Amino acid sequence: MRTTRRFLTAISLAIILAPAVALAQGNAKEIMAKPAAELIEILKNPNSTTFEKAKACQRLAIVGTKDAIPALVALLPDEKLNVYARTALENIPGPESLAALREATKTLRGRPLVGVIDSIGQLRDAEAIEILVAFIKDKDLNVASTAANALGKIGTPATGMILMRLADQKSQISNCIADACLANAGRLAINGDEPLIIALSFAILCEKEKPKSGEIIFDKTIYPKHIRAAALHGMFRLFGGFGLPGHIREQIHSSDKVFFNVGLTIARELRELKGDKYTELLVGELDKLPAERRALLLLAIADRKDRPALDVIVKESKNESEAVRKAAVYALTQRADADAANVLIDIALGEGAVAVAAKDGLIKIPGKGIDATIVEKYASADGHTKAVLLDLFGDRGITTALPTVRKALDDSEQPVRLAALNAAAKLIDVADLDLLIGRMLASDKSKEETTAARSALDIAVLRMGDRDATAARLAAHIDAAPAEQQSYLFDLLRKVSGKKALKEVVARTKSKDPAQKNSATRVLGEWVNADAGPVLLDIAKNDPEKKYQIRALRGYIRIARQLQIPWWKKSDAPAVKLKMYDEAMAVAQRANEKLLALDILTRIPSTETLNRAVACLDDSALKEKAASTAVRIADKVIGRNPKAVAEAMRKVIDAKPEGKTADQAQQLLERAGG
Amino acid sequence: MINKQTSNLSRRRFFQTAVGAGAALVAAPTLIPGRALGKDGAAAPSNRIALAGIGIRHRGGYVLDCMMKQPDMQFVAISDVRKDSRENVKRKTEAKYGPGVDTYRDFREMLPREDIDAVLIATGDRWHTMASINAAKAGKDIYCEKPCSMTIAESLALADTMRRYGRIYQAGTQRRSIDNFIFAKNLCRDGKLGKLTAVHANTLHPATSHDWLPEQPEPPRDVVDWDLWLGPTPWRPFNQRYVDGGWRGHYDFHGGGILEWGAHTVDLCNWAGTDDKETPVLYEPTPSGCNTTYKNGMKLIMRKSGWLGLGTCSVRYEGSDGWVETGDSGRLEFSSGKLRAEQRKCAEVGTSAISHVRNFFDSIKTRKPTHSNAEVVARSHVICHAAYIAWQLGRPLKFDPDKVEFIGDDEANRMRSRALRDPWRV
Repeated sequence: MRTTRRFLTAISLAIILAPAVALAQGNAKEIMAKPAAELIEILKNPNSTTFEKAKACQRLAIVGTKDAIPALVALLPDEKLNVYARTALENIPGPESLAALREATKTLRGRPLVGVIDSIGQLRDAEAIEILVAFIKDKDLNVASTAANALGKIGTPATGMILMRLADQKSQISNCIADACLANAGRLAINGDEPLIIALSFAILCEKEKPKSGEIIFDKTIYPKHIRAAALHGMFRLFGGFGLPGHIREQIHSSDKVFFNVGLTIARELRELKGDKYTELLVGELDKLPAERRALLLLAIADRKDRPALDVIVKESKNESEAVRKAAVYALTQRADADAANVLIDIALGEGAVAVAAKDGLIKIPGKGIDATIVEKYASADGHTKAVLLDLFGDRGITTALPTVRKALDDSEQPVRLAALNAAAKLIDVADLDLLIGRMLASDKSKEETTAARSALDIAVLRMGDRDATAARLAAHIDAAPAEQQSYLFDLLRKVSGKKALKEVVARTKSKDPAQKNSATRVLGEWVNADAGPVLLDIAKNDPEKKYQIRALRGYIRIARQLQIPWWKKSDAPAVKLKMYDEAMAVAQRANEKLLALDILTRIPSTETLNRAVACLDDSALKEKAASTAVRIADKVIGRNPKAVAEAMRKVIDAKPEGKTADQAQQLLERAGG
Repeated sequence: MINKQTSNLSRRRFFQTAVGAGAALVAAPTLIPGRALGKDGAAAPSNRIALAGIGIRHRGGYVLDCMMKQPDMQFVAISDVRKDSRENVKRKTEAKYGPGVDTYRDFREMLPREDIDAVLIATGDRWHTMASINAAKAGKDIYCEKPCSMTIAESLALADTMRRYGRIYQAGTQRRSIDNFIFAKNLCRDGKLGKLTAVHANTLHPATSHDWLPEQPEPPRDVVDWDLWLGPTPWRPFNQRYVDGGWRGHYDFHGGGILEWGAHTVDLCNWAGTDDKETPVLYEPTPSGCNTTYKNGMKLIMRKSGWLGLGTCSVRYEGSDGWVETGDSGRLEFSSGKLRAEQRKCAEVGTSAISHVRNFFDSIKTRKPTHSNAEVVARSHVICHAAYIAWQLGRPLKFDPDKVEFIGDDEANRMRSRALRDPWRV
């Protein structure tokens, strides 16, 4: 959690700071605000920098017309600017940009040519097919493979035929040709046209034998397994089982994991079509598979819309392999009907990992009838079975079982009592909260039961509908509770939060009992919302003990830094935070807390907060932090008030901060026209 | 790919558009599988997943830690344009798995290895789509950090390639596997909030910069390969700050604050609000976010502030019968005690990727799509990109989800894709 928070903070800071240091290469905003005609002039001007031309291209990509094409084409040989020019050319509508790209292929070589060919592919320029075919034989493999890729993107019957012929020959770009074949077939399939070409495109990549006739020669050795697998998968995806159950069986029984995985994928994706009963076919293979694969296939079958028959799953649930039995439990859960639930109940009442899986599965199948069956079984249950059933009462939210749960809290067997605590947490309302609090506080309970009672309370207090009544119940036990449990009750009050909880905690910040005062100030400092702010400030100002003053002030600053104003009042947030900053700085006696408070300012960048940060530069303990804070704020407000930024940055520079801060201040000063 | 000449991308094409071969598909010499799957060189158990890394530093290191806790994974190779990073990962993983973790500067030399089952991609954002597509074309399953794409076009190409190669793909949007977010989503999907009226996503300020950092001398290629670091993004002069993480906030490398957190929160909202089936049709920019509207009138509001303080990456779902809000603290707030009482377990606190990683490894074995598969993240990323385009243009935009294009706004449509720097392609 801490790692993630640091990471998220770093991201936020990086986003905020990025523009602050991006200065040396001109002002992109200024260039990109120019009209298209001026942008074209930038491209034509031999004195324009690479940066200026790059930014002009990026803007022309959005607003340029065919007038910009000659100037853009002139940049294509430039390895740095090629991509910028192509971004514009790819986006300027009309046939002129296509023609310009085709023309450029006549003179370009190397990477600029590769880029242009890719752009032709992006634009799916069917008029460029001949050009691309010629490049397939280029000695530069990047050129050749990009040309193949572009052909695949064009995706016409003609490119399909070309690519199939190319796919027949082993070459250094065989994999690229294969990929283009797949892409081309996929594009053809969009309109459902040319099924023969689509089928052959897949077949040429995955067939095992040469066909008896036809001009295309198949050679499976050209392609690595994953490409053959992709072709096979594509074939199944677009053509169903293509009438050959043997193809499906072959993958499921393949000794190669790659093809077995294709079989599993097909098992999940194939829909019942034209009378083909794929689920039946797949079920028929279960018996023939080793346990590990049997389990995986059963999981796949379980996810099919046409569910396997109950007796099939029940049979699998008795398999000697735990993996298969678990898969059967999953299949029962996916069926989600009363028959499946009844089987699951029986399995859940057993022992081991499969029983646990069955219990988890049962939670997902709703139904009053299933609830009734579960409740009914309790009457004749033994200790272990009772515990399982109690878990189910709680997890399924069977409130009709609450009397049984209450009784089970005093069962003679500890596992039953522990399960009852867990169930009670999920079923009781506030009137029953004392049942859990009492067990948490009871001195005659084992450590396990006390811990279980705490866990139950953790859950219960979060789900209580009436927060204030919950807080009142918890608070009523504080005075009599032993120290450790008392501290825990304060934690619960923080979790509950709300007006009553806050009131109870605040009252105890003035307690004569040091333990209560300690706990109360501790949880106030961790309060979940800004409501605790005023009382924390009061403690920071007026508490006679310094340790509580510091603790409260830190809590107050934490709230100010993380303060969340409800969104309908968001315009108030900056003013509230600034006031909190001023109050915190006025109360703070140590540099540590002042340094923390400076962080508040970066959350509300304005001329006012910039001045607040600058005002701290004279304090040697705060100088570095104040300078970096001022730089961060300055970057955010420079557009609104460059004069104030210039003045502030001069002061930052005069203060001579260490590291990069002075450089950043200097850059901001220059941006501000200082 | 988006066809800019016709500016028309059908829904079917969304799901079936083909993309071309990746650079990794240039026939490279297949390397002899080095240490294969065991410390002693012997074949590992058949259910062991051999993982390689591409670009692993801070965030990637955390995810790798989660992966290394899984008993059925073995790390075999790392590729990174930074020498220090690849050596750090090698040291860390060899401490657990023993000697034999191979290092590569260029992932194109690593991907042809047949002994590698899956890759963890945690490069900068600019590489996410390209590296994922190259890995898929090499037959690998993929766990890729978010955001998953830089443009609308990349989002579509990503989903298309995963589908075409039948690969398992998990985006690093781990909140889909964390209890409090799942619980809040279920309240929506189970109808406990009534008819949904608005879903709210916590996003950051959208702005990025088009400026460049000052030019610095390029380090030796073995130390930092700047050309490879840039990859498919436009050329610009080297500056160490980019390489050290300062690429964020720069337009060419970063999708802005809506995408940065929206990859999580907008994705969660679309999941809760539409079961991943819809895309908003109207995008109205605000000073620091975007308000969007679905065809049925439901709003998806991307905003930076005004949250209840439940932690980063907060989401809020509102319906005719109540609302729920949650965030990275794991805590939930409800409009009523009735909804509060629905909670039956204490939500996991935090943002751990453990469950998400486990879901990825399970999917590799079962071939069941992951929680954050390419289809669902492509849709939510399209929403983020469309919102950012509206914000950049500063005007409301209408969007046709079937054609994946803006209606009657040529400028907006031109912002759906960018050319890729040679020799990179998708």
